[in-house]
Amino acid sequence: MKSPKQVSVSALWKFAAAAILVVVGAGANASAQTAKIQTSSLDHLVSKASETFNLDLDESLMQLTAKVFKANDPDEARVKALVSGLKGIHVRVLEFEKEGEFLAADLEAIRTQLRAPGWNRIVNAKSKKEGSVDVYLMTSGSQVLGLAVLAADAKEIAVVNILGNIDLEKLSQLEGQFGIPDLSLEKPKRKN
Amino acid sequence: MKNQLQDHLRNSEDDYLWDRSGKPDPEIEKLEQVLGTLRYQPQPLVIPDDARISRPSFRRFGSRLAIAATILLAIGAGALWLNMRTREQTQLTNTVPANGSLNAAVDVPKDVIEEIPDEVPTTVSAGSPDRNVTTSDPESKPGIRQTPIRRNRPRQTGPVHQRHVPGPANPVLAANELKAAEAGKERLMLALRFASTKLNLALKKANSTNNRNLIHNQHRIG
Repeated sequence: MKSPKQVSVSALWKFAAAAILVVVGAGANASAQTAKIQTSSLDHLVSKASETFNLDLDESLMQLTAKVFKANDPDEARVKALVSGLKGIHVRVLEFEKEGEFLAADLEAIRTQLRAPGWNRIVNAKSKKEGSVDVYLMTSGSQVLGLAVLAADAKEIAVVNILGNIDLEKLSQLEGQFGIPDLSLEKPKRKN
Repeated sequence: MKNQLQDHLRNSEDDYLWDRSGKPDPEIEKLEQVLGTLRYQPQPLVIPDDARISRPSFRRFGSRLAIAATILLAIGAGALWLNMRTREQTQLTNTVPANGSLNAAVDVPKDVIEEIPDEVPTTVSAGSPDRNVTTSDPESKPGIRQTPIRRNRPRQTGPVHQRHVPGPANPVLAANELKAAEAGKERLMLALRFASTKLNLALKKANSTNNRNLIHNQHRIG
């Protein structure tokens, strides 16, 4: 039979262990639910790339930016509404002069992150000539936590990472509207 | 004679009362018999088999629980602080471009990028609008863009230039904040433009693939 002192010490240890597990589990869950994609695995390709394009907008800068959108302009009001739920936008593009400067394995670190729980691939378009474009959405219940677009063709790698509640329909409608030109990045098909 | 008798009686009574050597007094003997039942009788302590030890009460170990809770709270606070610090460092790293400047590598007008200033105000509204102070950071290194919000910055103890902001519905920005916001707007539109383009490209490719498969299947059916 355990003495009262032994009982109390073991109960304390159990309580402490359970509390630590809860704290650690909560931290791990919080980090697991972050929609931020690390693109540092592409750093070694920067020296090979002919041109690079990095764009990082964090939440504080987006909140500051949201203040200069004109409320009386319906187009800007729509963009402001789209942006209001966002916590960050990160764009990274590497363009190469020659084909074969990078391998599919170079993107594996990013794809591995996008295979984590919470991420769902909603679009997967792949062709030999035009490369592949994958669109991933991180959701928690009915809430959208982030979006990731990973596009790669023979000469270009593009990673778009949007953090926060993003409306895909509104985002796709932005191109060619509100003074945003239709860039038509899709390369023209060759005529036979 | 009378005195001798009194002395004898006193001595004999006292002797029995003190050391039981004198003549026994019947009243004292009677008292001895009555009170003798209450006399101490040495015997070993017997614990019954069905006796149970009561569980320690919460009050008894409350102090230890309080210590444990304090330690856990300290651990939790430390983990939270570490997490926030890691996020800040990650933001700081991510806001610094690999080559120190923005280069347009996609089909985006370069003049739009060139208009974007590298400098971003080191402090923007993070708390109550009345306490917002915009200062330049003398410690900032050239070429490194600091995070817009520095949470660990110590409060100014001297006279603080306070700028009243009427409210979030109609914010009034300082000139440098406005400049940063305009630059941020350009960057935001650029990012949204690129994201929208890539998203539409993916949707178009997915639709064309589906149509191709549909046509292919129709041929098979036909």
